[in-house]
Amino acid sequence: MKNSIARIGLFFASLHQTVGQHEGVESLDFERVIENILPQQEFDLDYNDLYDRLFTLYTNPLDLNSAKRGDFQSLFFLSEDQINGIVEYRKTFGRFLSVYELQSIDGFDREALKQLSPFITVRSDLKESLKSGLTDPDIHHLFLRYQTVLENKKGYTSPDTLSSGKLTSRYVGDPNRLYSRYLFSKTGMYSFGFTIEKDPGEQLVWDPGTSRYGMDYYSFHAMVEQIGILNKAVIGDFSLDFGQGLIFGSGFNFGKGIESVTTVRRNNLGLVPYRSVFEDRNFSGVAISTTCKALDLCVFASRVRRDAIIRKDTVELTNPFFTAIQTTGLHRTTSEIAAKNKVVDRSIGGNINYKVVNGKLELGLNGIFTSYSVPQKPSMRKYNQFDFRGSRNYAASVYFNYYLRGAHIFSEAGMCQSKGKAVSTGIIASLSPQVQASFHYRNYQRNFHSFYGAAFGENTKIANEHGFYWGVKIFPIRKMTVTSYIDLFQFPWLKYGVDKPSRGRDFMLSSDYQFNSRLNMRVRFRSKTKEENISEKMLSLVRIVPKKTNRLLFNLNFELNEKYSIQTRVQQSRMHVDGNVRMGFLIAQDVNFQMPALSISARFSLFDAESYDTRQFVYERDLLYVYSVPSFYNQGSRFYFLTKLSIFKNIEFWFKISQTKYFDQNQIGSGLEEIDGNTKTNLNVQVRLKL
Amino acid sequence: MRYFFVLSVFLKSFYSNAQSITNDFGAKSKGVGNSNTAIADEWSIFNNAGGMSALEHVHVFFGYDRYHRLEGFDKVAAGIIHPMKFGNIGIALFRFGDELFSESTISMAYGNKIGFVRLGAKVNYYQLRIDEFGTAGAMFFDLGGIVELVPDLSFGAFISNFSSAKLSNVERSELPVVMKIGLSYTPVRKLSVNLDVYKDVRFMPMIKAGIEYIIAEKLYLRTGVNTNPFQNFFGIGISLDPFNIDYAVSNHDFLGLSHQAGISFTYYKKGEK
Repeated sequence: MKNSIARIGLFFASLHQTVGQHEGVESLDFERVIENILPQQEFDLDYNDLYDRLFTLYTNPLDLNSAKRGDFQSLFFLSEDQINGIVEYRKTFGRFLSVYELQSIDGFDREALKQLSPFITVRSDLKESLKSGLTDPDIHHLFLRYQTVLENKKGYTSPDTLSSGKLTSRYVGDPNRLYSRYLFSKTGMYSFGFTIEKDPGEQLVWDPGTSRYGMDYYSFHAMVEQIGILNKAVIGDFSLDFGQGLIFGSGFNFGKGIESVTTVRRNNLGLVPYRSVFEDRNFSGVAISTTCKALDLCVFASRVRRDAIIRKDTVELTNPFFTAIQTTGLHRTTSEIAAKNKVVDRSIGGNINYKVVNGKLELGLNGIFTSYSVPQKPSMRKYNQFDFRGSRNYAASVYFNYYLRGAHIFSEAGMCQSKGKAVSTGIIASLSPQVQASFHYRNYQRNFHSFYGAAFGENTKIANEHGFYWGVKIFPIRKMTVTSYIDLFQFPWLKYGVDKPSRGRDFMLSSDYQFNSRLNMRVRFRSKTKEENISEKMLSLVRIVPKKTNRLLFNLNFELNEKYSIQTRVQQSRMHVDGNVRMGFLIAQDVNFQMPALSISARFSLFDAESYDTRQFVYERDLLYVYSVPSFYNQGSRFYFLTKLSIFKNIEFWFKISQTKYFDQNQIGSGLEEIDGNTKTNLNVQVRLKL
Repeated sequence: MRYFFVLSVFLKSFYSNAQSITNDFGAKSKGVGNSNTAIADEWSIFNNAGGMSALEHVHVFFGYDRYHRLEGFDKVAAGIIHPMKFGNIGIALFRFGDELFSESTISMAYGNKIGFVRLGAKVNYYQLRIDEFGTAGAMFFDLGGIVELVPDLSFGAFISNFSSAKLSNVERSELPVVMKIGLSYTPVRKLSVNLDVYKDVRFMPMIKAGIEYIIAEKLYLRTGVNTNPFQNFFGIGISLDPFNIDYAVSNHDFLGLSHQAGISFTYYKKGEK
């Protein structure tokens, strides 16, 4: 009773706050939100999927009352205590009436709420029929995007004639990238969308003989939710996340970045429509999921065409095979076009998830069977002899999640057709309000083959890796956050470019100081050591030596007022290998201006990096939905100018121009991408129609 | 003579580290190792045009810098800043070198405080003159700003030649593009501590740190260090209103000691002082 009175009081107290703050929340730009929570990365990690997921949540926030634990976990910045707090609160008090009720839960202060508020909401629990829902979508929009490089690349020049009379390879299409994306959806009811794309160099042509039908890439999905006994049913492209990603993982997560604690966990997002343009991860076909009391079940059947060059036995010219699936998605030259859609990948599989002990324990089972229309036979090398060979693979795994007060213990163990095994296990714990910690252990055998997994690790493939990871996040004093991790890993077998079993270490220490709500400073240090081959010119021998790269970053973020903010970055890298040292450096100054109808971002930066290994990665604002982390080496300067304009209520317009200028180079890039000159200018334009 | 000329050009190109287009001048600045990006005073017209807007009176100033053992490395600069209704405007002159090899810059600068930010912009005309070879010139632009982040802590950023201008009639002769940022912290009125990062795109990044301490009323002691190349700086300043007189010395591993002296005059209108 006391509680409920307190709650009503709190509700009314928060009412006027809600009105005041919500306006603030809505006017917040997504870029600003994303910069607050995504690590300002200086590594080569692809956060596109994650960005996409966050944007989906931003336009379509989680309902505090119906969201599941896995949904909250996917907001990786929430601690285990905070998630438990929400779940317990719902059990004790029932439905949330307002987002601001969160403030009465331990661990949600103003800052935490500010960070979380763009991604959550409280919806009414009235059941709408599909028919009336169709007239009232959450999202209904169309994106049109055009990107180009103003300088002429070699691939677009006229070909040279070789002495044999043949012409050298050139791109068949024009240098423009065209992209369009449509989405019509309502959370918990339906989602329908498509994505189409043409990369630079690809031709707009109708030629079924080479699998080219106008644009180069098409993706489509239609999903309905809560129909009869079905939880979800998807036709078209989809991705799956179950367990720790050994078998099913979509990549909606970090690698080792600044979020040192929760990064070890993969989230059980389950069945999700696929909306990206990365052409190697998705399933395509039919998938359904259903829930029966504590049991969740998901099954799917998929058929996707992949790119690969089909080769034949040299002697008999029979027995077609391919060596590797090409994942670039580019079809610009005759040889790239010849590889398009040459292998059919058929997969079936599913997941069973069972909740016991009041949802505190989850047990699950994953299984998949995949068959290629043509067998894969990579040419035999020492390092790749345990890679997948053949045309059929099956893999299965068991997993559990156990929630014990402030701790989450998770594990998945899998095995595939070759008897290769893999295990990924860990614990995330809120040790005290000031300290969160995690530990992760992984052991992926060299002959484990998983085509659709995305588990935690150093390698991109889930194989040939054994490692221990410790991460902490500490709030030693108010306003200060310290995060750190150390990852010790081994590769028990050879790798490409490393001719013996090797080992490595990755260490990061980062400190954030929040002077006030407007000023933030960050210092971060990362040191990574890995072994690699060094060729001895004299002896035609190969030695394996450690390569150590240290990176240091300083970042300052300052909001002058509601409209203006500035950001400054200084970062340096230093690589040591075999007695040689290489340096890299970047300095960047941003100015951002923001109004409801118009926002402008500009940056000027200088970079100077002696080698590719010390190249400088730096996050850049871009068109909405484009997550951009270019990297730079050699000596040069770069600027960009980005503006967003809301012309009418339903039309948003983006324009970005960026230029990189090199002071020590007369040409940029190599091969067909080569530009004769020392500047490269990118022009990007995008329109979003809210329908 | 010929030998000296070659040596002089050689030394200048290898060690002078973009002294030619100056982004650091003033004995007051040199005393703190040129950690000047977040400092707002009359020398800001050279160091970060954003700082000019801090001045409320007309300032006229002059400085001279030379190496103890080297000839032909002299630097001379002078400037005037005039507050106007619409902001402060200034003119600055700078010359480096001697009759054999010289570089001169004339600059027009404008600075104003907009909201919380001191902003400044500068238009420069640069001329290179080499005896028996002739002259070449180019126009280039600078931008800078200073902002108080929290009380006692200022931040400054400055970009010189952002459009990477080239000499008019010489191939591949981009003038240096320079970016610098700095913090200045004043925990007590008597003490200020500065930390700058300076990057000329052609050279290693430099870290510049400096301290200024008011040891007695109107008497300033300064010291600073730089990395890449390592240099020490020491300086002293006396305020004899309306004059400010500063002196600084630095030590460079190859080039040895260099001295700089500067004088600045503040013109007060009647009754203002």
